[in-house]
Amino acid sequence: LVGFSGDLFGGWELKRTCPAVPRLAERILKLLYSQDYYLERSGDMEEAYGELGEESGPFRAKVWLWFQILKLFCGVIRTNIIWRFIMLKNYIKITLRNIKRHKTFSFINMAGLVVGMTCFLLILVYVCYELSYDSMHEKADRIYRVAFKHPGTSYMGHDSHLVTPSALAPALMESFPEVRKNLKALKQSIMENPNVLGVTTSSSVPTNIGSALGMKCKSEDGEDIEVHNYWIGVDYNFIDVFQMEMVQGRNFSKEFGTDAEGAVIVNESFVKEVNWSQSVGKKIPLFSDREVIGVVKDFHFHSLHMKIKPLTISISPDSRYLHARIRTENLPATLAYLREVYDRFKIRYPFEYFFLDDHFNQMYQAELKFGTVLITFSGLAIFIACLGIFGLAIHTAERRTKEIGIRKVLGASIPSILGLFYNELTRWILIANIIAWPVAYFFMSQWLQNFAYRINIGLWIFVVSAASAIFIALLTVSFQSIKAATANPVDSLRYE
Amino acid sequence: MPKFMTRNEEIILLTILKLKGNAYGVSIRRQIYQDTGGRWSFASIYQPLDNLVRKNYVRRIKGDPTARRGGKSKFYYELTPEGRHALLKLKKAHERIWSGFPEISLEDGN
Repeated sequence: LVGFSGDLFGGWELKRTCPAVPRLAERILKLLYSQDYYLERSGDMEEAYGELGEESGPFRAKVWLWFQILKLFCGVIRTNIIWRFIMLKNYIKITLRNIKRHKTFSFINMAGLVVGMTCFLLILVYVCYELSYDSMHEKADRIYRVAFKHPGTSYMGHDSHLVTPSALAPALMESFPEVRKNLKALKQSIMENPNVLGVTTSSSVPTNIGSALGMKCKSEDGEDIEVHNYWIGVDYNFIDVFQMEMVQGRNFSKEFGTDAEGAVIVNESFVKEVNWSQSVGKKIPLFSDREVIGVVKDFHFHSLHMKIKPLTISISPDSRYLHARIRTENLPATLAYLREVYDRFKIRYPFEYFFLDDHFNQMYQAELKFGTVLITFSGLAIFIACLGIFGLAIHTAERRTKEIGIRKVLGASIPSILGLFYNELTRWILIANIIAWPVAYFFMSQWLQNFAYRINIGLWIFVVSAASAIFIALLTVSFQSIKAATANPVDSLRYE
Repeated sequence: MPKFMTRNEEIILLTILKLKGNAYGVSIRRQIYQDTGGRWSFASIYQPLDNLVRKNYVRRIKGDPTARRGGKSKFYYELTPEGRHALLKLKKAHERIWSGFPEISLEDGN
């Protein structure tokens, strides 16, 4: 039942009596509407525009046209926004309905999300609080700490060796003469205990040698080489007590009268630094000219963050530390004995002791703490991921209840249905692994750059992580999928 | 409670009915001008028209192109049975609402 206005298609080729609508207006209309509606609307526009043009002139028509288009534009935008809102409302409705239907899945996922968010917020608060340290001082940036610092002894950004001026040491020695006087007797008394294997003294702890100095050494070609090296003053039996290995030459010995003043032992790194082929007998300017009598095998006297540096060892009466090598049996008794001997000599300083391995471990406190934190949060992350996988399994099982029922009715065995679940999951885990590997590799190698000595990131780490991810995932999924696979197909087909 | 169409939709629906098969954008606008004296913009015609189409009160039918339209097709509008039904319901409701007022009481102004 369509009536035509009589102005049929054939007529329009003859002439256009009215001016055409401007191009730009056409283009705007084309943007606003889909093809069908564009045809209608721009056609209507053109017809009305032509009529108005004949009636009241082209200028009025043009102004009118642009107003029309502006109004159309506003209308379209408004409707679109309204429809967006309606769609959004619908989406929310669908989401809520889904959440209600898959209660377990939603609960697990949300629980995971909440745990994750909570952890994130806790860490954020913790970090913010930590960063706010000291900022309660109004002019925090004007507070300084004054200290002496040895060059080249800071690592990981810590000023680990803040020291008192060296002139203080002789002054102290004068003030407390009994320290030196009693040293020998003290050592002998300690040695009387059968649990003590050896006693020696040194100027610093051999796991953390702080004194560094620069010196000019002669290479074999007679060139001057500036060696930045560390120094430790020791007793004659230091190397024996610490069971260090001599690579070349001999140990300090009291039989050579000159050892106390004129002998030095260097480590392998020192030899490497100055490039000597034969080091025994060379002279180096350590305090005064000293003769190298031996080379000791490299040992770590800093944390493993640092490479082993050149080291010089010489006899020194200035000993701040007394080391005793003791048997591990009956430790408390030995310690009590040490304290008793120490007290017998009435030294003004209180008896303090530490085990060297503890001291060594202290240098790795940051790593240890970091390790604990890392393990905790990795555990948490794995837990949350497991929750996610579990939720996914429940969701899949629920979604495929009917499919599984039909498969079972058609004769699928339980293992084949389990295989269905596992196949899909394994595929996704492998894809996830492929994405995660480069990221993990990048961050791990970045972190390992902090260490002078580091492990290589082997391929096996990735293989093991992939295998464990699959294992954990399958374990998580097993429960749900076995439940789904063993269910009576009659129930599942009646489902919903 | 049944939802009524808006006043604009009602006017347009009645105009389409009045034009008897010759109802398209320009003719609807012209008819409205003749009946009400208001020059409606095309935007305020298309908006209710689209709504009516969505409510299935009105059907869109593609016509032939003409010269005056730059070779573009006309789209005619036509009432569906649902549209007629809705219009009838609205008319009855109107009559009931308006019944009982003598015209004089409105023209008096109080």
